[in-house]
Amino acid sequence: MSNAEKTRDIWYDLDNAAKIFPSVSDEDNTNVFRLACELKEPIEPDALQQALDTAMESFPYFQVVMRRGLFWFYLERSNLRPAAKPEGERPCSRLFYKQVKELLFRVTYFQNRINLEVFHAVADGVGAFDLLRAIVYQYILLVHRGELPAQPPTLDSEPPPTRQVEDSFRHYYNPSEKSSPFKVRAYNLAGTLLPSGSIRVISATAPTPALLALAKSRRTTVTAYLAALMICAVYHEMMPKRASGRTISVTIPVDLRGHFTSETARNFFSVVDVGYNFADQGGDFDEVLASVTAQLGEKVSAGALTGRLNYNMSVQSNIFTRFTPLILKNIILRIAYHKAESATTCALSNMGRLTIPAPFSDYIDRFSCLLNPTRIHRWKLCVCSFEDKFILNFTSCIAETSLHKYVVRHLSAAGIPLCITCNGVNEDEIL
Amino acid sequence: MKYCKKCDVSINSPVSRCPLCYATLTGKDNMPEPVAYPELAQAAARYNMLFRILLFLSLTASVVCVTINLVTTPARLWSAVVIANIVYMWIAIGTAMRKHAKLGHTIMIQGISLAGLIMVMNLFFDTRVNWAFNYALPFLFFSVTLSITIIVIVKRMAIRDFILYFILTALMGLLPLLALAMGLVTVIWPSLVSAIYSGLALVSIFIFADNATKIELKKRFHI
Repeated sequence: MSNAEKTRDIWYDLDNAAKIFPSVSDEDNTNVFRLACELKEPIEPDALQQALDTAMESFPYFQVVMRRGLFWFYLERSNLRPAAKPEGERPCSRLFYKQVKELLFRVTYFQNRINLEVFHAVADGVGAFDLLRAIVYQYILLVHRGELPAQPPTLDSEPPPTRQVEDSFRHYYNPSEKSSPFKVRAYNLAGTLLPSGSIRVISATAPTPALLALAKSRRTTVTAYLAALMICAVYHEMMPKRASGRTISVTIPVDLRGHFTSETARNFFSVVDVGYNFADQGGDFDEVLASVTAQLGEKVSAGALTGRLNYNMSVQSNIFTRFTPLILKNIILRIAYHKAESATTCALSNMGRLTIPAPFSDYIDRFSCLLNPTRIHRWKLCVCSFEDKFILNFTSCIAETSLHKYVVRHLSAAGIPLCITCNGVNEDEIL
Repeated sequence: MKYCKKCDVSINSPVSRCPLCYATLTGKDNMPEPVAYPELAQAAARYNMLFRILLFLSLTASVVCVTINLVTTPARLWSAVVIANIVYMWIAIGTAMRKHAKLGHTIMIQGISLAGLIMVMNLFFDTRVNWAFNYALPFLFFSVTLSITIIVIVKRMAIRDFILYFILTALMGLLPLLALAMGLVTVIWPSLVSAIYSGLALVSIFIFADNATKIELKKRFHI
């Protein structure tokens, strides 16, 4: 048997969170996220390709293509070689097409930046960041060999391959403790849609200590502060009077590796939703912030998170779900996904502090991350920090920027100096 | 670096207006701002004229036929056959034109849609003899399974890619047995040929399967 045929014998079924993504992905709802690393000098393409090849040796799990079975999609190992290409498409553009055997991540470069874009069915942000960090590590090792110490510090973030592929959802599943998250439809954003296939990216950079101090002075976390700010932005800038009875809620993914022991590169996250209803409660920012802080404190605990995990797993393990042919499952999953997404208004993701060992960090300006907006979650915010820089990346698929303006002006008024960059959106086409 | 007075933020992209509030920016210095993202070519909107003409013609033909049918011979609904043929044509075009069509997939879709067409034709066209269940369907299923068998034998390496369709079409070939049991069949031998061939094809998979095929089966049918 040839080598290629042997490779195909290795396969993984999709984890609990990943199961939905192949069924619901299309040109706009790509379910692709981007992690990027900006160096202090322009990228050398050949060195990047070499670094990518070396890094892939430690991350065999990413070397997969999506296949269809009779009942579920699954991931199959492939010998395709990932190629580092110049950035030529909009951020987070589509990676997964049914019936196409292509790798489910791409590495691109533009000026000083290395981008890693990943289809969410393969990995989550934490798993993918380990890969990006390994690529950047190898790249710097290659380009700056002469300046680095003879024994440069190693990355301790490369778990053994068997641990990378572990399905931690299955590992921690306990059917006796499930809690069904009861959901009502939240206010869903309107606005003028951009032409299909284009998104708006607005990035704001703030000093990390100032932002942390601001959150601390209000006795809350940066995540809670930003979630409250997003809720207020939607209420003041977007929500029409007739919809004011609706709850505005923000969905926030929580990395379960922080609550359960796991080194998996695959998905291992849960989401918590924080909501606020301005018709029932007072309207100023302090009240929203207090409510959001309390909700996050209550929902982000190992106990509350397992309830959700167990519920999602029980749906997947249900005998009817399992024996429904994929062709029908696709339709059911699309309806369920739409319903679940409509229960929240927008999304906020905090990747936290991203790091790389000391001499390597000197060559890096920043790490950043981007989420793909969807037709329902038309406005998303993904934040992370690298040393003294705190990067807020807003992505949206609507022409209006008043939501961004609200958040940015609030932070400016609170004394945080911000620097804004944006991608080009052709205004003539929409207005 | 430019500056927006209204938002109180600095702007580090080559824009003349604030991306947040559209206010005119004031420049601090004359250094050009860096471009954060490459400029993308606008994808031209696809507009397939031939496709639209065909679609419109199909619709017109259906409406005209249904009208004539209802006005002249309302007792015999022959226009259902016309519509079934048009639907079949679209399915055939759809599977043939697919960018990443898989042979096994195409053959299976052809089999299923032809079966549908045959049943409609028998139901509305010629109701005196039950030729669909007696002859047409058993021979259709037989030839579908046979064609996949031939592909698997000729392209030895392709077993893994065809295994799912091989099993599904073989299962389809057993359907005439069901029709036989329900008493829909008066001429028995074609149904028996189809069922026996499909049954043997299924058994052969399990007898001849090597390790790789077993893994492939596990992948394709995992629940």
